[in-house]
Amino acid sequence: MFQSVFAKKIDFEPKAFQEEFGSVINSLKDNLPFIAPELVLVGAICVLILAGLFVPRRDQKGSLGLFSLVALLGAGWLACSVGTSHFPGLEKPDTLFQGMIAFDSFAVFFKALFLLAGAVVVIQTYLSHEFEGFAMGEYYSLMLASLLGCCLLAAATDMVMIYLALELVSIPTYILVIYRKADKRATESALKYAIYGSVAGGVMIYGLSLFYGLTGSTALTSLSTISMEGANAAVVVIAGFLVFAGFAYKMAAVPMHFWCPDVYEGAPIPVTSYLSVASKAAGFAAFVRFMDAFGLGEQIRIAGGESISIQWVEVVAIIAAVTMTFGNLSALFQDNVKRMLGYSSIAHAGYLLMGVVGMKGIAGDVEGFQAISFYFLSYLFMNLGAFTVVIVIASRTGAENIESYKGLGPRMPFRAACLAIFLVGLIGLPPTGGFTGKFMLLKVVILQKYYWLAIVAGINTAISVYYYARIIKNMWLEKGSSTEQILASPLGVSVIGLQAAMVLVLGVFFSPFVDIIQRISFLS
Amino acid sequence: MMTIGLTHYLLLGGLLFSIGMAIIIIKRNGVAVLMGLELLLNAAALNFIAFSHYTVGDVRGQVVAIFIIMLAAAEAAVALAIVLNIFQHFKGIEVDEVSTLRD
Amino acid sequence: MNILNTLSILAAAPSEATAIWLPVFFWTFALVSVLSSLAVLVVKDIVRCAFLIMSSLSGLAGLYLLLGAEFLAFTQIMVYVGGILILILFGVMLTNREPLLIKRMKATGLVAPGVLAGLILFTAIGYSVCTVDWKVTDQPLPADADTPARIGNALMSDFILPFEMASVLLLVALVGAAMAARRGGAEG
Repeated sequence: MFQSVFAKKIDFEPKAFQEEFGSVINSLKDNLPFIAPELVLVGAICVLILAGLFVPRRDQKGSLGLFSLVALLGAGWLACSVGTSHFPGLEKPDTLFQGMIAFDSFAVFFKALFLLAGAVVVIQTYLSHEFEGFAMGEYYSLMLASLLGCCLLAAATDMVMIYLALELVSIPTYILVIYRKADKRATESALKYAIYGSVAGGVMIYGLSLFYGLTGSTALTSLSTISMEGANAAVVVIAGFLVFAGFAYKMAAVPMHFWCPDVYEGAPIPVTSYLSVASKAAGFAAFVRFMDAFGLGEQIRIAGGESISIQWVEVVAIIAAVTMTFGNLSALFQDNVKRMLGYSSIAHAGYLLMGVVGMKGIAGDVEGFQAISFYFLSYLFMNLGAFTVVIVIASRTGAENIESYKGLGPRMPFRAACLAIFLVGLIGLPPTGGFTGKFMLLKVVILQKYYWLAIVAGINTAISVYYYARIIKNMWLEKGSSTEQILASPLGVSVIGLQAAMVLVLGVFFSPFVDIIQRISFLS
Repeated sequence: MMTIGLTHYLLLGGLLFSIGMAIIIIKRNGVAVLMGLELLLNAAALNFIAFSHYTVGDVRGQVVAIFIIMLAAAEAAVALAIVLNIFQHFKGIEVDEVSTLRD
Repeated sequence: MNILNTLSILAAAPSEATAIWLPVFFWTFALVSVLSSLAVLVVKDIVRCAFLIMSSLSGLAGLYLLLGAEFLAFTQIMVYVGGILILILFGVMLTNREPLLIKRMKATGLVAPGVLAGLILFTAIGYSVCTVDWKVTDQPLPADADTPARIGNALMSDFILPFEMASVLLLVALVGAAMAARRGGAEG
């Protein structure tokens, strides 16, 4: 056989090549328009790497940032408009890239979400003082590469694709965390993040290999053909948990949450803010799609099919409850704002997992994954908004501790008021988008008759009031050491104001957004 | 014992996976944890190739294994770059020695 | 070449006469990989660990040959043994002020949990893979299947998107790693 490989005369026949690959090339032609936003990102990545070599270093934060912003908004526009009447004459093929990715409204929604989040993070980077005089070509290209991974992850319908896209999301973020190399905290947390992130990926691919053995295919659709009964049960349970570990790392759900507070504290704040929204949402999008294919309602029988019989949905419900409780209880004792927001991000992963519980069967007028989509829409503005204010405060006063927020309210009234709106949204109180989102999540859980989970979420919301309100109280009710006004930049104020407005709009005039959400599906 | 089948390869893969996990938990040296990671990834690649050979009879599993090797290379490069960076700061790569962050 | 040739034919088309050698090769390679990876657990010296991992991964390359994946076997040797492990050795040497001095690792209190976790994992995985009735195909790849060509075809047709994505991934990993390893980094 080795002779056959090495000694065979290679005779290239154009006709045979045409026959073999003609259909592939033709299908590529039909497929490429549907990954237009991804292609824009790839082009921008290459341009940014090169531009980083030629643009003077002191200008890089602004000029390359502007370029990335334009690329992201362009890609976002393409993501929303490809496949609609903006581009007549595009025929969507049955499968894209031999079934590697899907082009459905779920993927389109999340792509638009990631690209919008990316645009906000680019603006945050510009506002932040942390990158003065840095070479930023690599920074923006890594950020865009990670966003490219997010976009592909939300669309991935093949296990290979999920694994690769997950790593494409992660690997650039390891470097982004360490971008300020002089920062000791950053380098330490980056080591933990990179090594355990890779381990989580390795665990996940081992689990996926077992699924490949059971189905003989890497396509997600084949997962539904696995029978949970009898001899398969044990291996399905183990593979399921191993794969969950990979997703949980991205989502920052217990027990794979441990990196979250350290990395949030150590990383530059714009990177933290990116991790808390885009990469978390990407993990959720892939997990939701995976669970949709895998089936939540299936019985798992352990040990011969008699002794224990549980359902995946119960496992997810328990993990959701533990995750939100752990996140909220730990956040109570934090002094550093970034670290507190890290634990709060764990708690939100718990809330969002409630939506996965709601995916079992039909649930009322909004299904679980639609509630997750809506929550992410509000979470995008609330969390990114909160981080934008934190960046402005850290840049102007150097304060990262909750204690040092004392008396900030009168010194920067508009921005402090916006931060209060974001925090009220994160608590989940009306009239903010956080309330609407949490209401939907609770509703789908209650319709599934998981009353205990709804009660746990309620108690958690009450706990979270304490630590979020502490910031508001420090800003407005306590006296600080200084009363000097804090400088406002027009860009910062307008970005913060817009996000606060969006949070309020999602809380009051939410019906057009709910209409959009209700049209989201995995099919078209 | 004498006829080698799919189960033999799977058990071997499982064993390597478990040893890799034990290495990751026990060793505190960043580079050693990377070695454990390589074992995890190789266990997965072995599974893919064995399934590809025995249960499917095509090369898809082998292609997945190529992607795994590619990712292992990328991860090793990035992680070692970070390890070098850590060393410049702390003059040591034990994860324990490094703790300006609280637990 | 002849040995390799024999190995793959052994695996793909075991005849009565050759069938007896297949288990011999399997157990040799399997023992090499398992024993060397077990030794990594015990050995304190990081350079020795790197070489043990090297032998473990080479053993796996042998197993890939038995599984009819000769392209993978050579990729394994070239990329892993020739690339990644050399990278790791560089890492070890660069992080040692005296390169030839051996860097010892501290044992931590996590030995017992580590061993326990490994044992539990192996029991669980071993039990589960043994109980499943895997659907073994009756049409394995023939011995002269020309797998490199098939892999090339698969990469250019079914896997074209992951393949191109991998190129982006490698590009940013290189750019990022160069940035992170550079003294001074983005500031300097």
